[in-house]
Amino acid sequence: MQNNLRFIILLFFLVITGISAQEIEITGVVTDATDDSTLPGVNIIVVGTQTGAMADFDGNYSISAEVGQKLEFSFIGMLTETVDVVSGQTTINVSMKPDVAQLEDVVVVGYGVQKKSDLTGSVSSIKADEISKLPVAAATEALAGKVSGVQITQQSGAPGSTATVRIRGVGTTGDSNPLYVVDGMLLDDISFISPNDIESMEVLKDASATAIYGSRAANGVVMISTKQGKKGKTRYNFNTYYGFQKVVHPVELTNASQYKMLVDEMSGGNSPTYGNADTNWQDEIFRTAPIQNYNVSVNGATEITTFNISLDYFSQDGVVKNSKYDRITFRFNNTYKFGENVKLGNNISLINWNSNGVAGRVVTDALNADPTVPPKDENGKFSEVNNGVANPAAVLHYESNNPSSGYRTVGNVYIDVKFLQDFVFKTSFGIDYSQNRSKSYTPEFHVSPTQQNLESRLNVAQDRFFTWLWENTVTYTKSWEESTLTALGGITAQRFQTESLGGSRTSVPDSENLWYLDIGSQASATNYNNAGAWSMLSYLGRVNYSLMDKYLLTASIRADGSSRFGSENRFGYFPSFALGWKMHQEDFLQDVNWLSQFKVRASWGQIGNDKIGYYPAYSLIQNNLNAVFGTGDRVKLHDGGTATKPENPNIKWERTEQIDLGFNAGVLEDKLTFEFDYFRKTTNDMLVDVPIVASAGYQQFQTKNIGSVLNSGIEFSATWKSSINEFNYGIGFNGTSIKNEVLSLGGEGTDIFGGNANGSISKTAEGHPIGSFYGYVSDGVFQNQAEVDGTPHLGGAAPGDIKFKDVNGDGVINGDDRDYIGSPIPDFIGGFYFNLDYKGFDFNLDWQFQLGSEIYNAKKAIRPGNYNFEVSYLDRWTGEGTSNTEPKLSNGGNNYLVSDRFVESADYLRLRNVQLGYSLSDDVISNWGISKLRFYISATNIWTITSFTGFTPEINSATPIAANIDYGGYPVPATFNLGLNLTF
Amino acid sequence: MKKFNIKYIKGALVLSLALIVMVGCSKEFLEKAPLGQAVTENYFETDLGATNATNAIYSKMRDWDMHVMSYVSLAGIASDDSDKGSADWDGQQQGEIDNFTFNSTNGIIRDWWLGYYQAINRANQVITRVPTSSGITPELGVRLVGEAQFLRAYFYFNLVRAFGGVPLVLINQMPEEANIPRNTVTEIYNQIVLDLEAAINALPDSYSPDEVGRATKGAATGLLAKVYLFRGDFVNAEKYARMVEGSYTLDQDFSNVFKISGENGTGSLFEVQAEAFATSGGGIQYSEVQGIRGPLNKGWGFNSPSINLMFEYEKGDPRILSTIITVSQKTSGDVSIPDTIIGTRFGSTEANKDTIIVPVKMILYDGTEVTAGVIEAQGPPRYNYKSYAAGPAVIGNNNGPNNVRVLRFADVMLILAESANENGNSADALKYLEMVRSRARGGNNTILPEVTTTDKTELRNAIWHERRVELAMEQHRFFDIVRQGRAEAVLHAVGKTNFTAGKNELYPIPQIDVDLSNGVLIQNPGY
Repeated sequence: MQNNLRFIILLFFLVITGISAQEIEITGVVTDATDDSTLPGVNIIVVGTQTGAMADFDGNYSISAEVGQKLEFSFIGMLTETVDVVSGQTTINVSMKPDVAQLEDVVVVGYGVQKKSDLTGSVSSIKADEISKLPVAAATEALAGKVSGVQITQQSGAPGSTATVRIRGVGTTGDSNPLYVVDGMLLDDISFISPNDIESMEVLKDASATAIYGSRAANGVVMISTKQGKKGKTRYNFNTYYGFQKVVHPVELTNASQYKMLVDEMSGGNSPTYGNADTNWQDEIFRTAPIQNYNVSVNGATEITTFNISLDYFSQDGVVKNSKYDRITFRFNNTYKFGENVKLGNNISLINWNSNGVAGRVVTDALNADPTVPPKDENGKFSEVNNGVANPAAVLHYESNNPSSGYRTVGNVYIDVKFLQDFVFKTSFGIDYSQNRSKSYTPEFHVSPTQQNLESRLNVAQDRFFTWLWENTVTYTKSWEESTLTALGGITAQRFQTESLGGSRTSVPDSENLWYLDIGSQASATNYNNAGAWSMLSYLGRVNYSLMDKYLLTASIRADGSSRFGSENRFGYFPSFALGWKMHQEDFLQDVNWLSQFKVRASWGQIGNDKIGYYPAYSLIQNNLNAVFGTGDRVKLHDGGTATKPENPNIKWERTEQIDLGFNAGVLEDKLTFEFDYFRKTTNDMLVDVPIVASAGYQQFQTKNIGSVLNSGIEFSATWKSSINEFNYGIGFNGTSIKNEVLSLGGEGTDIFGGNANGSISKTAEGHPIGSFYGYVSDGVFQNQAEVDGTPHLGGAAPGDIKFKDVNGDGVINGDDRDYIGSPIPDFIGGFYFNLDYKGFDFNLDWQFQLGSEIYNAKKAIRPGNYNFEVSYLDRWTGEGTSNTEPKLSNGGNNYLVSDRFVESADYLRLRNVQLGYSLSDDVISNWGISKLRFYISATNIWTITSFTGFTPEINSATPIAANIDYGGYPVPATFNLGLNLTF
Repeated sequence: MKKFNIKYIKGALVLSLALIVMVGCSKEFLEKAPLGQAVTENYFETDLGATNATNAIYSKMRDWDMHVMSYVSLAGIASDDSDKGSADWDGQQQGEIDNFTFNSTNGIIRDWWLGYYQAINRANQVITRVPTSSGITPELGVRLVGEAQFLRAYFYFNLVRAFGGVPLVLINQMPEEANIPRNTVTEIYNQIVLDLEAAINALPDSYSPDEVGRATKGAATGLLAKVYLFRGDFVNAEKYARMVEGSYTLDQDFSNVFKISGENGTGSLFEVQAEAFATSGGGIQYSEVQGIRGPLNKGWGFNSPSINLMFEYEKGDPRILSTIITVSQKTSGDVSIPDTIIGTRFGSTEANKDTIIVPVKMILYDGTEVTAGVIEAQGPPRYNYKSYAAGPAVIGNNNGPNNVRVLRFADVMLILAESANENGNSADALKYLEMVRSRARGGNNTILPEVTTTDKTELRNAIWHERRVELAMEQHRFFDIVRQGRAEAVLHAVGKTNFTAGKNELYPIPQIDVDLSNGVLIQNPGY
């Protein structure tokens, strides 16, 4: 191809030379202004003629032109330069600047890219710098407080843990996680990706943007584009940080003497035996733990290929002892051009991760354990904790041998073919293959009757996940004088399969090199092997039309056929329609100089959620329900199996209908930008795991298409970028209001209960937010017997007990007096930032906040049992007038019923990240051949303003119907780190 | 250039063709059979599937929510035979049951409710699907349905005794269809009788050694006698009890009945089968929850035999030695037994009762020596010997080997005695009472004198006394005293004064299920 091209150019050359004798031969070198590297492949034409040339691999060119003509230098991603041909000048060297505007203006959307100014949908984007800023394993945490409409909650502080992502509220009581699209691969889990490898993340929020992903888009879509090689000089990058994590807000508990006092008081003279230590169990299990990341990458391009190769190592030790996670990621993204019309590309990553998990209950144990007991007795043996809690130190010692590791490959190979001028055919084949191994070893040990293991046991498991995705699209793009049309059509197929294989044996020695099944007792051998799969076949289409660069139209449709859906509902159709109006292009706004852009948008569409298990439509047999029969030495296990779940052949995706009205504005050459959206998202046929009546005799839950949920709200973001002398600064603010309401749960009003601490805590019911807290309403504490006698009360109520409100006013306190006492879904979330750079210094503050939600402090509500007390117990009622909020001590009973006693505000304002960096000046480093050298210090999650008494107001909310209930999970730590960015 | 385009257009066409083929196969592509799990509608078409589905009913009975904690609590701890046990701090919910302070949120009560309905569902699947299935050997099908009907009757019997009238679910239904109002107690019992009569016709007298443990005709007949006893229908109770009289004999060594070697013995009508395999999967926690706390490491010590139960035994009755593990002790909840009695006797307050030796050391049948030193300081002083798991644990205490004795011949003979007495046949009543006492005597004629009274009330009391000591700690007592109409008197006498007549004879329907039913389930009175 290139030879062809050169031949043609040469031919032109000869023809032109033949015509004119006044031409002069001009030569020169084209370079990249950012780093003075030479630029190969730059197009040079003589303006107004058909004369052209191309720079060679070293940026050299030569061309003939007449004096007075102009040479135009153009190159993708660079600003076009035009130079006059002057008499006597035969050497013209050109330095080209990158076209920043062009780069920033393009956003990645489903099955394509679009100029931001042409978007009709609601799409938010963040770039590489923001994504790699935080010292975390999960890239999505970078969205926290940065992008309107998106709520990020760290599920736990466990090493390598991911974050819960909620886009525009909670649209379902089922799986509310968004779809991730990484370089075109559709994924649910992106834990494999290193934040360093990401070029940009786009959050697709409204139906116009997401409907092209059909039945998987109802919870929003997060598009992730990894870094590609860029034209220009080959760059070598080295990025690293090293830091420490610490639990900054341990739960305040009573110490040994306070504990004894309270237990004595509670047990009324029948006190248990105490130890004589004063143990802070949280200190016994927590530690200050290191976190580190190293990333080396090289990227660049030649005329034919582009490449980006990176190697990344992330390692995090947990703040709970013995927990750790590390991950090595190798990525290579390449493109290869075969002539003008054909491009082949690949985005491939290979991952290896290793982790060790601790028994999940150890944090709760540390909060509950008797502080009078020492971790070990005088003989060095783990103490039996008297109050029925496992000795947390012993849990860490004996039950923390849970090494697991995995290999994963995610990647795709694609071919783009341009044909018939306006068409592009793209076929892409991708896979996501992972193989995980985990072991769990428990040695023989005895601490107490409830904390012991009589025979050492090894469990081994291997899990395999395999997805392939084949996507074929044709895009037609045509521009006319006043209008542009882009039409897309495609067919895609996807297949997912998973298989688990595992076994266990006892009598395995306590040595890691012997943790293999063969060494254990064969008589004890058990095994299991199971699998699941789904497949999907989809047709998609989209039209983008732009008229006079003012009026925009987008319409799309996707048809998804899925094996998950019941036979009655095999295919679902998901349309969308949107309009945009670039008002600033209109004549009547041409004179308004301060307004640099103003666009209004409106969209409507329907999208779905297909997370309903692999085979919900089938009634399946649960195996291994084995019976024992036989007498004497004839006793053996007899296989058993039966249906334990009801089938649902009518099951289908849940359908969400969303409208969005919004505008984008830019003022003063876009120094101030403003974006506003109103959204209204209605989920129908909501997939709900409904607890079913026990008399049905099945397992407790069934997934059904019932119910409807409304999420509505506004979201906005504003940024201001400017400079004063050499101070460049930026300020940004974004906020999202969410109103979440269950409109219907099916005709019968089947309320969904979730959580448990002396009764179910959450209730999802019509007219209330999903997972609302539901319980008794306290109205102070009974101060004396006369008050008890004169007020409706629960049986056995005495002075000092909580006075529960007679909500329905029937003169009796019972279950009917429970009411809605809080919501896990915030009314308003957002964040703001301030950044500043001056000479080589840069400074950055990121804040995140949340208002209007509550947390149920279930860890305080755990009674009966002589568990350790949160300090709020010290404010208990001890006689008339002593307290009207904290009841008298009681070991269980009505004061622990689910009530607003345990509801706390989840409002917070958090300094998410503060960072100070210094980049050495070019003068210094260019001598060393370095183009960038930056050092920084950073602190994450160090300061939170909140009244919540737990570790952090971010509570694991993976299950919307039992969200924001704090049972005492793995705390999210604060991190302090030092970092280095180097490019040469 | 054009050549290239044409070439790639050709490529595109080939791909498009491939896509068309792919689309043509879409039905197949989207309807792949589930991996690794059988589909229910095919499962019941074979002997293997139908047998396995029946086995799954038996499997359920070993679960925590059936014959483990809820069983020992609701049927045992609640009674005057036992105390909560365990350490003071442990098991508040069990404590609520012991003291009748529970309400409808007690999780142990919910376990019972959930567990039995899940078991009923498994039985319903066999009962409804097997008869309509063409692929099953007819004789096998009849037997499997008979087993399921026996089991379903037993499950409803335990539900109706615990909760009164409950929703009567007899087929597999979608959950919304199963949300039905409570049937009456009579309706439940009518169904139990129907199921047991059908089971009696369908089931064999016995099984091969490999299949021992499945429901038999005798088990169904004996259970029906017991059901009629609980209905106060003494005529039918006597009738059905007599039917099994000739089929079983009492093991002449009472102490053997509860050993592993006594499992499925000559006097056993039905047991929940369990075994501690090295691979696990066949064990039950029945023994663990009641096992001796402390260094012996046998379990958690719930359901501790009460002092009151000890005093119930007549002078020299050897059954106490096979029922209660106790050594000279410290204090217990309400009765103080001074240390000075170590190795001696302590006096009974009732003249007609023996003083009881509480030895310093007790040697259990597997050779284990129990002294105060091997019982955890905070543990209870007395343990249920009948649930004792002998020998070292295999894998763990949770993999317990002990069968749970659900229905024994001695129980049926006492039903026969009680019914005969009520029906005016004191001669037979005395005969069958003596059958049980004679075995207990073990040839020692100086103890347990033969009862001779023909006074109906005296004889009834003698039989009730005999039921208590013969069946002690086997989770029969609470339902017995309720049946006998004297729960309030008996429980108040042992200090359980929170027991409220007219309320606590039944347990509350779990609040969460009342909530889930959206008003369909009406709570029991008083809760």
